[in-house]
Amino acid sequence: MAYANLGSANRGKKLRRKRLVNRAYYTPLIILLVIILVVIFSCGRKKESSRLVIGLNTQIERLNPITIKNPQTFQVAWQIYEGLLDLDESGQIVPRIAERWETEDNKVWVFHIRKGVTFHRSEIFDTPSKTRNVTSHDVLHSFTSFCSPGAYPSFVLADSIKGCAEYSAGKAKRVKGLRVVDDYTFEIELNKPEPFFLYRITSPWIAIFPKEANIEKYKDRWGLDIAVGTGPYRLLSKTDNQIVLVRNEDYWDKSRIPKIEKLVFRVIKNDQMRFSELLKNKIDLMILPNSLFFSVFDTDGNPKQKYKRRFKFKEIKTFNHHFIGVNIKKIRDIHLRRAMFYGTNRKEMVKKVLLGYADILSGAIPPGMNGYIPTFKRIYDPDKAKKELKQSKYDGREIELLVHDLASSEQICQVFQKQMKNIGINIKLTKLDFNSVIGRMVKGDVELFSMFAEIVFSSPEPLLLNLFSTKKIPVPNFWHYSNPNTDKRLEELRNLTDRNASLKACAEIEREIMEYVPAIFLYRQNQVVMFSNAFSNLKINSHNHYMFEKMEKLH
Amino acid sequence: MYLVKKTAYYSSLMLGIILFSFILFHMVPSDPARIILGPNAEESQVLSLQRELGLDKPLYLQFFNYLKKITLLDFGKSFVDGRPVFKEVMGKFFITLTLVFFSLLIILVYTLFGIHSVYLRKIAHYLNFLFISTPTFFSGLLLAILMVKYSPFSFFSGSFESIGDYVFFLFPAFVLALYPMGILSRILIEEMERILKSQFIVAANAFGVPKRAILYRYALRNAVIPYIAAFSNQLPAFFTGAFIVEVIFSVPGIGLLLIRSILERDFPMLEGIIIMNGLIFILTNLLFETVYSLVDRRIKKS
Amino acid sequence: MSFILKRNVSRPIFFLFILFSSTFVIPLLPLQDPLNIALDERLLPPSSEHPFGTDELGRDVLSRTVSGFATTVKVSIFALLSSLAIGIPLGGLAGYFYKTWVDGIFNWTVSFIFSLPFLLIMASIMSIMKPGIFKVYLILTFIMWVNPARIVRAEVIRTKNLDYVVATRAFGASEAYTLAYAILPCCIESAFIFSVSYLPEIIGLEAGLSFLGLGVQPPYPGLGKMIFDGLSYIYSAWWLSFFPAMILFVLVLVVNGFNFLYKKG
Repeated sequence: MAYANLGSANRGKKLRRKRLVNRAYYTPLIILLVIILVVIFSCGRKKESSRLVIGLNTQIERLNPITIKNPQTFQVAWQIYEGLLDLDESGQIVPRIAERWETEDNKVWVFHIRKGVTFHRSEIFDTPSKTRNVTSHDVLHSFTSFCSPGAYPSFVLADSIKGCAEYSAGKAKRVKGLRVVDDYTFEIELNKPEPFFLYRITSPWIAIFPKEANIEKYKDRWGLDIAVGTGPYRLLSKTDNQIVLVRNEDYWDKSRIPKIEKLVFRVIKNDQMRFSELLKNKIDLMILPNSLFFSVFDTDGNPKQKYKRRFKFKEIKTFNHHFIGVNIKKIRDIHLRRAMFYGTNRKEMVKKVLLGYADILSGAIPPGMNGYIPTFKRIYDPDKAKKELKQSKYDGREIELLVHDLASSEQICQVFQKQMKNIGINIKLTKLDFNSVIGRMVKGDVELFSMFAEIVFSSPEPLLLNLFSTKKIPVPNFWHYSNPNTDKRLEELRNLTDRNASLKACAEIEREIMEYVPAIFLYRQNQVVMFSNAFSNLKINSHNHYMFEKMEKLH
Repeated sequence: MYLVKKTAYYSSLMLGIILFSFILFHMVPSDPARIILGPNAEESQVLSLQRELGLDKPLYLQFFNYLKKITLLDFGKSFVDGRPVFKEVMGKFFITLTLVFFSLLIILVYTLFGIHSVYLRKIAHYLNFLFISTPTFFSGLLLAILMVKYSPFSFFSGSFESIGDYVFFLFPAFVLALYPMGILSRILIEEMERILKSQFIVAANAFGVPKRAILYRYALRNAVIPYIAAFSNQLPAFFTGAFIVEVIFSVPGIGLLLIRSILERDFPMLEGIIIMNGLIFILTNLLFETVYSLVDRRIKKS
Repeated sequence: MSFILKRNVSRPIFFLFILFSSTFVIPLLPLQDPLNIALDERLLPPSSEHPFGTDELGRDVLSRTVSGFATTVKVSIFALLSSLAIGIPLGGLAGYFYKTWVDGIFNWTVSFIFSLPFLLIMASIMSIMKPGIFKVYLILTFIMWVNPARIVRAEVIRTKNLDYVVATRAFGASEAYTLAYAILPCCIESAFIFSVSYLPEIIGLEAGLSFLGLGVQPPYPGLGKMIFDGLSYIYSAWWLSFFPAMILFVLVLVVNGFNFLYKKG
């Protein structure tokens, strides 16, 4: 039953309401007008000089050096923060906050802190100049923070520095091996001698930041809108989708003061949208994701003509490895593992899926790491694979391979599945999100798992120690590889002070380890950076540290 | 008495939601401490972090502690990066709200527009059919592609600084509005057609009441009742659609925060979002009940 | 049960049956293997050999689309039928015991389900158990049973006090008998009518779930997943997303069309 109020029908007055236009037509007209005005307004935007706009594919994390773990964040964070040392583009160690260093026994390392390095100006400093000099007390505070339980990069230092493991387990009040000698001298004592210690801290991951970060007032804002370091750029503003960095005019290294005044990082999740923005010149630089290779490169892997005219391409080789890990506890049959190893056609994966932008790996150590040259040669041998399979007790059961959602894992694993089928091994794929794969990997509840890692060390020794020592089971020795002979040889590395001897030993140890197939290492992925022709001199080191301070804008 | 009953009902609902999600999260076989520290950290460090985060206590104790803190409006800190949950959820929620608001505007304009003349109603009829048949992500993708290629406003900087930021919202809002627009417009038009044939309208016409008045004051008033009912039914799906749209257009709202928190097993944040969601649901329920009784004075609050 | 022969119920059932059996015809069609990886034929545009082109691993998009269509239809129809099977009795009980605690619990549960963010439950459950298409089916049922339940409940409340029902009780029938044979047959009709109109929603949800990665496992194809994976290639290899999206769209259009025409007649 409808209901009406006929009484108010104005029966008596017979007023014919005059209306010019139907009221409801107003609303869309108004909206249209607003849009027109807005378009007019935006067309007259000033172009800022000396600005580089970078497209990111995901939101970056909180800019807190001890919790950063996503390589995308590094692009931003390492403009702000610096460590004691750094690596230049050719892989040589260069001093940063540490001016020089020495050691007598490779066990106690003394660092001389550079004088005159100041933090970015910020309200967190209680001084009239809003800044202060970096001293070894800051180094102590930073390194101690990196050993704390909540620090992601603590694994870099936990084995190595005396007292660090106890501190990170919450069992000690301070780290015994970190000592302030005086305001500009800092000492680090290790558990055991390590000639390769410096290669643990060449990454700006282990950065120096002020102890004022812990003040109650600023603790909640640290990394969100306050991020104070010593680097060539300082933080101007940060929202979830956009971060703006501005040149640090007081940077200590006058030869490396940035030429480009502003860095603007924009988060555009969708690859195609980001690419469109690059083509429209709304952003100037982006990392080319694998999915766009097909549209940007021709079949030989060279950029198409239309893009070559307007953009530059840079291929960078960083320290990373992509692999299919094997849980030796679950797949005990060494012949089965060898069959999988020899049956994997890495070349097909690299050439067809990654269009050649990757280097084949036979072992854990990526080539070029401190001059390392791998020795394993012929690793794809389907006949040998089939022979090994015959020797094994494989009964045709399905072996589960965990796949995650990043870095072409899904595509590569499907290709792997097909390659295994060709030699007679049945693989079942299970796709989970990245963290679930890690969870199961750590628990040991896997047979095969697809994973990749950005390696923070810049030399093979700490990497091998981390991945293949018995005492590192189950984490990060995920394959449960245990061999007392390997352990002995790894410990012996601590006594090799000659670089070349050490590298040679690493190569031999790696070869021994790979015979046992703890994992099937596939390739080292190379990054391709695509940026506008208006810029030049992009330098990126093997740690994935973008040295934007060296970049120039052409006129 | 009525108020007491209502409060009891809704608070028990709220409690049930919190309890359910709490149990669900802790059944998920993944350790937030391990995720924060990554696969390289030693077990001893992970245990230490667990202790710091309070994850080692028995479940019921954690639950009660959490309830205690909530009453003080302390929703804890995110596991991912230590951000205060309350501030974060409020901020993101504001953005999603803007999206929803724009959407509602578009829906309102379209549905009211579509009932004017017989001609418009016919067009709307077929358009609605099209709108109902398009899944949100399909239309979203289409529009996103077009927007990227042809519109100058294709980026949202995270805060409302320039006008471009506001205009940007029109695109995802439009996509979000498509499906509800189709359904609601169809319901409204059907109801209007039904009512316009009824006796009292014929009578009003005969009395010489202007057409505009018939449409708005008489017919619409009645048609609006099932319209509002359908509207409130659409709401849960509306929010799900909002999440999908946020993913496609990279709008940093609650949807994206939800997905990220799930992937990172960020329990405090997830709890915060669920509570917020539940609260919204309850509030909109109450709102609709009130609007209902206002529009149709025959319904009394009993 | 004579009510099955009534036009209002038989038509939706017939339609669903046709849709469902079409999925069994599909394996018999002369199509290529949807799982056949051919790395030398990646991302080929539509041609006579591959009418819908090839995907990023060289597989034929036509066969994958068709296969994904079959999966989607199967899961959706199963979920729909289960949600009817669960929703109708529950709704009937709630309606019959209107104004008692049974109805109270029902309403509370419905509000509860509506107030939880759908996505959350999905992702959490997926993480607990191994993901898979079966879990998708469970989740869809869990979400969708409320719709027929509510409708049946409303109808039961309406017919509960009609003369003939009262008469049945007066003749000494037990409560269960009355519910099953007198009340429900009339109410189920509306549920069935509406059932087909839920199908597009279920299909959309299933596609959305695969879109988010929680559904079909690689290397098997799923419509939502194909659309999502093809997004990255939308400008260079548009056929990857386009054809699955079109098939999805057509499917939903057809179902809605059935609703549309059927309501008129």
